[in-house]
Order: sequence, then structure tokens, then C-alpha cells
Amino acid sequence: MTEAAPPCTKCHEKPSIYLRPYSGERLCAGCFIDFVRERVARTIARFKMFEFDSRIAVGVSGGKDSLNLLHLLVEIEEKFPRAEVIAVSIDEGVKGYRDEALRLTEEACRRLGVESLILSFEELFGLTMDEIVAKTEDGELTPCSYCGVLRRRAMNEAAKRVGADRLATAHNLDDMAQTALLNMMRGDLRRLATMHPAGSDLRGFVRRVKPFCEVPERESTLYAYLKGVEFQGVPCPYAEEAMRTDIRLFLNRMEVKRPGTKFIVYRTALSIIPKLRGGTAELGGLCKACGEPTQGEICRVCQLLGELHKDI
Amino acid sequence: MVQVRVRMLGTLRDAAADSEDLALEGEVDVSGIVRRLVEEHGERLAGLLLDSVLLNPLPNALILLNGVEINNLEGLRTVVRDGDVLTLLPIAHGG
Repeated sequence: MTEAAPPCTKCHEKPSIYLRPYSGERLCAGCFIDFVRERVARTIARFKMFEFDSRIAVGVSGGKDSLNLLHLLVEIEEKFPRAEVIAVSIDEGVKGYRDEALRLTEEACRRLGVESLILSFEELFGLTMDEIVAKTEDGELTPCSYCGVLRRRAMNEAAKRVGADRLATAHNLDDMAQTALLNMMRGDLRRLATMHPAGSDLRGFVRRVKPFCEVPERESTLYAYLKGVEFQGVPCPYAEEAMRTDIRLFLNRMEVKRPGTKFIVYRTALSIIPKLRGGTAELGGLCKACGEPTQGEICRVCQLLGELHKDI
Repeated sequence: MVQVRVRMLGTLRDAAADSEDLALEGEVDVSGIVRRLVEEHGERLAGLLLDSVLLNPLPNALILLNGVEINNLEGLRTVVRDGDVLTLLPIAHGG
């Protein structure tokens, strides 16, 4: 068998299993797990994400990041007996893919004793994602463009239904760095301003927070493996957001060549955000069709649904 | 002859297998095993595992040798020994 690795640089006792390339630390499994939990707890505290009695809806897709976040929040919030954690999931209606993910979510909730709510695109919008893809095959928008807008609305609706005052999503460091670069390359400063992990209080929206925002996806993968989280075997058949994919591949290559690149992009974005309209995304009024908050007269959800339902 | 068990998780197991035992001749490192897996399982596994520019699995996968991440050893040049277990975890986006 291959020789043992050098000792852990934190506990100096057990053999290390992971080299953190951006800091040079070598961690054993136990210290690695502690480090991820401490990082998430510190992120929550630094950005003042929760109150001591917050009712926290956690967006759980069934992927490793959201299952990790659910486990960690249940653990961290145990110290706050008046805080509550509820899992909220969205069934977009993607046969094969979402079935496996919902099964993993249900199993995790049962094990952790966490209340859960599943809302579907079909019940909220009258269409499954499979039906939307079939109807828009020749259109200009990708499936992710529809899914992103509708899922955001559905998550907010789910958080409202369970009476949550916070909606925690499992965006990791990679997601944050990709979003920062994506919005810079598109010149979309409004969206850049809304990516702040602490979220903001906007009328009609449950405040969205991202406690996992400083955990690199690589480390989330290792954490899930060490904690025995089951990995999804089926990828989303529609996942192809061309520009984000290019940026993801670019950042992953850069991270291998120059460790720390993702943290630098993320931190640079955070330092720019306060200079953009005070760091908040102002919303104009309420959508004339559905009454939800929007910048224009008709919200993006109603615009998309209007197109989709036109020929039903 | 060196026997190595390869375990693949997540989307990789769909493109290859949950687990397979490889019999290897002479001194082989992790990059040699990755090359062999890609040759055996073809483009589908190559597309998930290898970065198309660097032709390297490190941007896309976490690779553990007997539970130790290979960057904590000698990276892709880490030589495998008889009885080793190599685990490949995809760093798939989304989740």
C-alpha cells in the first residue's frame, strides 16, 4: 500500500488526507470536517445571516451541496433552541433526474428529523420542466433560463408557505465566483449587486442567505464523501448554460494553475458590491398580473408563463 | 503484477462502473490509471473526467488514494501499489 501522508498541520496527530492548495494546510479527516463547519458558522456570524430565533427554510435540491448545508445548519442551529430549520424542495418535473434527488432529500430529512415541503412547477405554474423544454425547443432561451426564473419564484413561495424569515441556499464559492465573473462579463451591475451572501430585505421576498458561499466545491465534495452523503448519479439532462459553463471550466483550470483564484474573484466582487447602489437591488413595484415584486410592470415569471401558455 | 481497485461515484459510475479491479504491469502512477480508464470506457467518461484544455482530471474530479487526496501525495504522479483503492469523485456543478 502507498505510504501514509504527512501529519495533519492542525492536530499534529493523525495523518493528513487533504492538502488545501490555497493555504498549504494539510488536514486529517476530523480536522477537515471541523474546519468546514467552523467556516460556515463564521460566515453566518460575519454576515449576520440569522437571528437567534430564525425560522430557516433551506433550499434542498438533493445534490451534495444542499444536503451538506442541511446537515450543517441542523448541527449549527442546535445551539440556538429557538431557531428552526425546514427543508424546502422544488420538483421542476424532470423525469429521472429529479426523482432521484427528491428521494435523497426525503431520506436526509427523515434521518435528521427535519420538516420538509416540496412544491412542484406543475402545481405552481401548470407546466413541468419537461413540458417547457418540449414547447421551447426552437426558442432562443435555454432550459436553464426558464428553470432559473421559475425556481427562484417557487423557492420564495415555498419559504413563505412554511412561514420562514430566511431562505438559505447552498451556493458555494465556485457558484459565487462564476456569478461574479458572469455578471461582469455581461456588464450586468444590477445582478452583481444582488449576489451578496447576506441577501437583503426586499418587500415580498423572504431574505435569501448563502451560508456555504466560502466553501469551495472541491471541499464540499470531500465533505459529502467523508460524511457519507450519497452522490447523485443522474445529471440534469438540460443543464447547459453556455456562458456559465465556459466560466466554470476557465475558473477550474485557473484554480489548478493558481490556487486561490476563486477566493480572489469572490472577494473582489464583495468589495465592489457596496459601491453599487448601496449594495441592494431596488425593486420598483408590484407585477400587474400576479402582484409579486418586480422592476417593471410585468414580472419575468409572468412574461415567461404568458409565452408558454399562449398556445395551450 | 499490481492489483488496484477503482471506485467511481456520482455521475462517473454511470459512465463507467461502480467499482472495478485493474491488474497493472510494472510501475504505474495515478495518471496511468486515469489514461487506462478513459481508454476502456471511452468518450463519455473522458468528457466527465478530463478537462478538455489541460487534458487533466484535477479540475473536474477529486481523486483519493486509500482515502488520501492525491494532491496531498505526489498528485497524478503518485505511484500505486498492490492492494490500493483509488476513488474518483466528480466535482459536478449544481447541488
